[in-house]
Amino acid sequence: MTTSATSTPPLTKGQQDHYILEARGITKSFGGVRAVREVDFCVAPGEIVGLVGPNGSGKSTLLGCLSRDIPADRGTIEFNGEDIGGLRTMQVARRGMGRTFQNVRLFPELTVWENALLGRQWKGVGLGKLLRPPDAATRQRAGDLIDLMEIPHLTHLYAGNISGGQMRLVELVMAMMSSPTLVLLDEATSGVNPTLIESLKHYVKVLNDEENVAFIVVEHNIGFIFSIADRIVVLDDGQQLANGTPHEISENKEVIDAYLGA
Amino acid sequence: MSTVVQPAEAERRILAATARPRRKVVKYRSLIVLLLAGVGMGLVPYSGLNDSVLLTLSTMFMWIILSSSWNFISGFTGYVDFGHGVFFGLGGYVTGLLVVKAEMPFATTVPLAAVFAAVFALLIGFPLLRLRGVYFSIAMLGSFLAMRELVLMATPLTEGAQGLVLPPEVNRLFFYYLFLGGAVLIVAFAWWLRRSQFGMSLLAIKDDERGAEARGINTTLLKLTVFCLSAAITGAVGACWAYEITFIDPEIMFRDSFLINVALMTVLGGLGTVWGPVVGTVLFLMVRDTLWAEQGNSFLVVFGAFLIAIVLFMPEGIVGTVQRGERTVLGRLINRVRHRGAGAADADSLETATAVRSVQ
Repeated sequence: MTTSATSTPPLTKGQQDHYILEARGITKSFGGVRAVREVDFCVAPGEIVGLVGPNGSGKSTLLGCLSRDIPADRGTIEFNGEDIGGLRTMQVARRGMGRTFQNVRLFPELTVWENALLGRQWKGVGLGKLLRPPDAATRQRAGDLIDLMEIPHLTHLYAGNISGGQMRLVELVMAMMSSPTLVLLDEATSGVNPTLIESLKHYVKVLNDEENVAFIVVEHNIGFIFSIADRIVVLDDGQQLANGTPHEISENKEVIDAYLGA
Repeated sequence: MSTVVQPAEAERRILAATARPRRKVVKYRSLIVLLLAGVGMGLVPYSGLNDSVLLTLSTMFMWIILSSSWNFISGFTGYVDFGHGVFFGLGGYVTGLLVVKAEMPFATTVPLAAVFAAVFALLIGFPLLRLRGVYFSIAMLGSFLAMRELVLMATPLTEGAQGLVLPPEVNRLFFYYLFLGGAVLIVAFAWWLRRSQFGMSLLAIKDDERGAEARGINTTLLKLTVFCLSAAITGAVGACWAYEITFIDPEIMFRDSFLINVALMTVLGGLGTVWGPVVGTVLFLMVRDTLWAEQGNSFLVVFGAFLIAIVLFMPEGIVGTVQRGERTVLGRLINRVRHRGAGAADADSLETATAVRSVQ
C-alpha cells in the first residue's frame, strides 16, 4: 500500500469488496472560505479510519458533511449503498451512522440511563410505541453497553452532573445504541485523562472486533490515533494530503512537514 | 459484546441498580397519590361546603389542566409559548358559535373545538416551530393578538365586542367534576409521558435540539405533535369554560392575564416536571387570592415580591428544585435535610437518590 493524496483509498480490512461509506468530491465553503475541497473519503466495513490535520484543515467540516449535519455544496455521499445526499441528520442516524461530538452533546435534564435509551431511534416507530417506556431489547442493549464501559454506577445520575470523561463514555454508549455500522468520533479524547483514554481505546477496539463497527476518528491525539487506526487520512487546508497506514503516514515527508513535525 | 459481558449479567446489574425504585408501590407512587387526591376532591361537594368554595376549586382544576398542557410544549419541549391563549379563545368561540348559531349540543362542540384548535396549531406550528427561543415566543404572542383582533372584527359571525350569550342554565357540579376529571387525567398523562420515549425525546429537544436530531430523533414531528396536543387540550378547556360562564366576548376569551398566569403557575411549580404545574397552580391561586382578600388592589406589590423571591431562590421551580436540587444552594440544602436521617451523607448517594426520585 502506498500513500496517496488523490486516489480512492484502498480497502484495508479483511476480504471486504465494498465500502459502507463512499464520499466523492465533497466541497464545502463558508462565505469565501473553502473549508473542504474536492475530498474523496471512503470507509470499508469494520475499518477504523483516522482523520487528522492541523486546526482549520476541514476535519470537523468533513465529518459534518458526512453525517449531513452540514450540507455539502458539492459531491456525493453513499452510505450502505444508499445516496444520503438529500437526507436529514436524523434520517442518516437512523440508517446506522452514530456519532459523538467535539463538544459533548448529552441531555443534562435526563439521567445517564435515559440518555442511553434515547440513542436507539428506529425508522417508522409509531406514536403508540413512542408513548410506551423503552422496550426490553432497548434496555438490554443499554445495559450491555453501560456494563462494557464500566459505568453502571452512573446510570441514575443526571448527565449534567458527571465528569467530562464520563460524558465521553456516555456519548459513545448513545452512538452505539442502535447497533450502527459506522460511528464518527469527533475528538473523543479531548479533555480526558490518560487512564480514561486507554479505556476508551479498549472500548473502541472491542466494539470494532465484536460488532464489526467501522469508526472514523478525528483526533489531535496522535498517539491515540496511531495506535487504533487501520488507515489514516491527513487533511491540510481542506484537501487530502495523504492516505495510508499509520506506518506509511509516519514516514510521509509531506505529512511530517505539514502536521507531525520532526 | 457477549464475551465482554454476559447479557444476563448486564440485565441483573441494571435491575439491581434500579431495584428500589422498581418496587410497584414506589414506582406508581405518583399515580396512587393522584388517585387518592382525585377521590378526596370528588367527595368535597358532599361535605356541605358552599358554592363559592366549589367554584374556586373548579377554577383551580381548570388552571391545572391549562398549565399542564402549556407545560407540554413550553416545559418539556422548551418552546416557551406566550400566545397559548389563542387556542383557549378559539376553543371558546367554536363552542359559543356552534351552540348559539347552530344550536348544537354542548357535548358535541367540545371535541370539535379541540380539533379546530389542533388544526390551527398545525397550520401555525409548521412555520413557527422552526423558530427558537424568544423568536418563537414573540411570534406566538403576535398570533394571539392578531386572532383577538380578527374575532373582534368578524362581527357578522362573532358579534364582535357585543359578545355571544350562551344558555344561562349551568350545572356547576357538572363542571366541577368535569374539570376535576380532566385535571386527574392530564397529570396521569404527564406522568406517563415523562417515562415514555416520547417524553424523554421532548426533554432532549429542550436540552439540545441539534444533538437530538443527530441521535435520530424526529424533532419536527415530535414538536408538531406535542404542540397540537397541547393546543387541543387548551381548546377543549376553553370550550368548557365558555359554556360555563354563559357569555363570551374577545376580551374575556383572549385575555392577556391568561398568558401571564399559565406561565407563572408552571414556572413556580417547575418547568418540565409532572407535578410542577399542579403545585404552581395551587400555590399561585392560594397566595394571590389570600393577598387580594387581605390587601385589596395593593396585593400585587406583595405578590410581585413573592414571585421574585421564588424565581431568585428556586429558578427551577419548587418541584424542579426538590428533584434536581444539586444545581441550587436551596436545593442542596433541601436534599441534605431530607437525607440526613437516611444515612445518605455522601454526595454520590445523595445525587443518585435525587435523580432516582426525579425519574419517578
